[in-house]
Amino acid sequence: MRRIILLLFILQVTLFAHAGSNSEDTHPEINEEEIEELPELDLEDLSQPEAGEEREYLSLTGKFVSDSYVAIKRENPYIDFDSSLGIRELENFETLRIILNIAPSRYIKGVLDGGFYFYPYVEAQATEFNNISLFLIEAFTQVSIGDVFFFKAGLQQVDWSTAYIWSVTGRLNRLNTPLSPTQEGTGVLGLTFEILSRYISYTFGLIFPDFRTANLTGDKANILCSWLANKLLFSFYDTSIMLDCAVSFDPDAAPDNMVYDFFIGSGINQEAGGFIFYADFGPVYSKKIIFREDGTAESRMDWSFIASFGFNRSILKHGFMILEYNYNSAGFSGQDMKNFSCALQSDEVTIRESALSAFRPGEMAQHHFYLHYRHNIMDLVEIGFDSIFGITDPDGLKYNNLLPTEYISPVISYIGFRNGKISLYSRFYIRHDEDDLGEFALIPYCSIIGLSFELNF
Amino acid sequence: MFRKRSIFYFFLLSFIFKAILIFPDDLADRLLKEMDRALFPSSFIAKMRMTNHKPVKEDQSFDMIVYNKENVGALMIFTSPPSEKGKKMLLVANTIWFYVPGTSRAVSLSSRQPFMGSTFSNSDLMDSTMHDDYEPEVIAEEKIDVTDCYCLELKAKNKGVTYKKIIIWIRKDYRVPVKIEYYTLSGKLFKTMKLFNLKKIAGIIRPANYIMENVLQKETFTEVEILGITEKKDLKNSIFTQGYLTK
Repeated sequence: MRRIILLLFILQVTLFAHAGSNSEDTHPEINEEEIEELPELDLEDLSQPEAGEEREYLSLTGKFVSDSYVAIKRENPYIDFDSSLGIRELENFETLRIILNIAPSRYIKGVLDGGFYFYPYVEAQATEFNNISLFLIEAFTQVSIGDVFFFKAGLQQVDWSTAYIWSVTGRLNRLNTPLSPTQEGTGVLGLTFEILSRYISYTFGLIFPDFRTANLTGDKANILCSWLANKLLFSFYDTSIMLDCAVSFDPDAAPDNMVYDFFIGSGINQEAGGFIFYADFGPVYSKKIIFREDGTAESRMDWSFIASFGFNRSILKHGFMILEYNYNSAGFSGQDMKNFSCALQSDEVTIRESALSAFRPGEMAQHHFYLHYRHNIMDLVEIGFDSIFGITDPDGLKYNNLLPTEYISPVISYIGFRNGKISLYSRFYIRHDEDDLGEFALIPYCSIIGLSFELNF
Repeated sequence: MFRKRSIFYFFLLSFIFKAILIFPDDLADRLLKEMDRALFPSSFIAKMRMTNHKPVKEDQSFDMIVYNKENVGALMIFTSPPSEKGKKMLLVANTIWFYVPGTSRAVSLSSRQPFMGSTFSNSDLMDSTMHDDYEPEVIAEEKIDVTDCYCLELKAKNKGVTYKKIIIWIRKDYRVPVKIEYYTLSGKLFKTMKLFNLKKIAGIIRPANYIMENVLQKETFTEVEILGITEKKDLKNSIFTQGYLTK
């Protein structure tokens, strides 16, 4: 027993000495008093860049203006003179778009995003249209309290979707320009209130009757209604789940002819193996316009189901792709599309206007695919494309198999500038032959070529 | 007899207790926690500059403000150059949310993707702690540039992390890392990070400069410099949400 105790004692002494050496390793070669101390930040002046080539340039705007830019575009459309749509012939036109994000303090900011279209070849006296027109995408003021409560008023994007292009919530903010179906459209006029917290965020929106133009002719939209919208967003670890619902009504309609629009949307976002998978789906109860074979139309309230699934992923370090599929149970079949085309050419003004108001290329078929790709070359050039493949049921069409109607927009940009970029892009609306009645084939342009200059400040 | 047994049990218990204290796994765990704390405060706001060096291209620099709160998330806001100004990145768990001004919502990206064309991945820069994601083991004691270091091997605890294996050399004195090697899933050395220029940052001696080299692409590396830092324990959790990115 004595030997065992002696052995334990020796072991303890040895181990104690070893443990002590771990915690007391010091290196006298460093004199802590001589080590430079990094300065504390000025939290009131965080947005100002540190000394460097950008300091002087950005100090002019950095205090009050953040993430702002000006874009100048020139677009040359090639018109399809055989198009059945009797719309004005837009020749080459230029766009000036300005985004101003003005933040006089951390808790107040204003955003103005809009500009002008110039139609230099349209003579004002020869047409009912002016050769300059104004457009607004967003114009709102935001006030926040303590980085938790946010109140926003004005023309604003209400994009609560999980998917990129199509979603249930897209009904709130859906008017993209038919000439560029993958770009964000004009915002909606409304008030939104948001409470943010780590796991659950809640947003309430009151959206006022729509005053935007809905189609190529400049006719007013027929969605003259208000929306009451709610969104709950749950975030747990790598997963985020969104639930939203909204109801709308037409304040001008007679009580016995009131039109409601209602949806419940849900979205989920999840990373797995370098892919980001997402889904967005839900039921919709809304007014639909049914175009008949005899050239007449009727509207009725009905249920439909919308679902979008997709993923994004980086490709070979310098590439990035998105693939998205959308199903809309209320989408047009081939026969519906044929009837719709007849309605567009109807002699009755009300039928023709109803058809024009329902004309949303990229949203009309039952099945759509969206493919996006961008590839960065040496941080100097970026090439890529956006494309939509709408697949309609072949019933009523001359084709015996599924008919894809395509939209593709290739782009090449020089991104080597520190304060802007130059892009050359095109939009092709592909039609197979003169009997092609696909949604993109109805657009009166074969293609558009554009050149844009963007300047950030 | 009773007294001898008491002495025996006393020594036996104290031996077990001390043996637990210096058990190598425990040391590795402690070192990794201390390293995480030595790199950054648990909750802070920092200004950083990242510069990409590539063999056939002019150096490219980005300035950013970083908000970080341990176990909650990290938010990065770009302030320069003008073409990147206003872009924001949020890291929550292993998911990155990226916001570009002029768009209405943030986009989710994988944490494994390269960060703004650099040799860093999104998670390298934005995830400032390793203890939650990796199981450490002390595998050697070595000198790196005459500095005594512990060499730790880290193995991923879950599949969601960017690297399967990481080897870190930690200074014995200040518990700050000197060199970090990142390995691919197949076990090949992928990237090497060197940390240097010790400064007093928020009261503690920490490295102010990091260089990440891509082993597979010669002369390609990215340098990050901490320009200023303030420990701020009362950062609100709402800052680290998707909704905040668009505000």
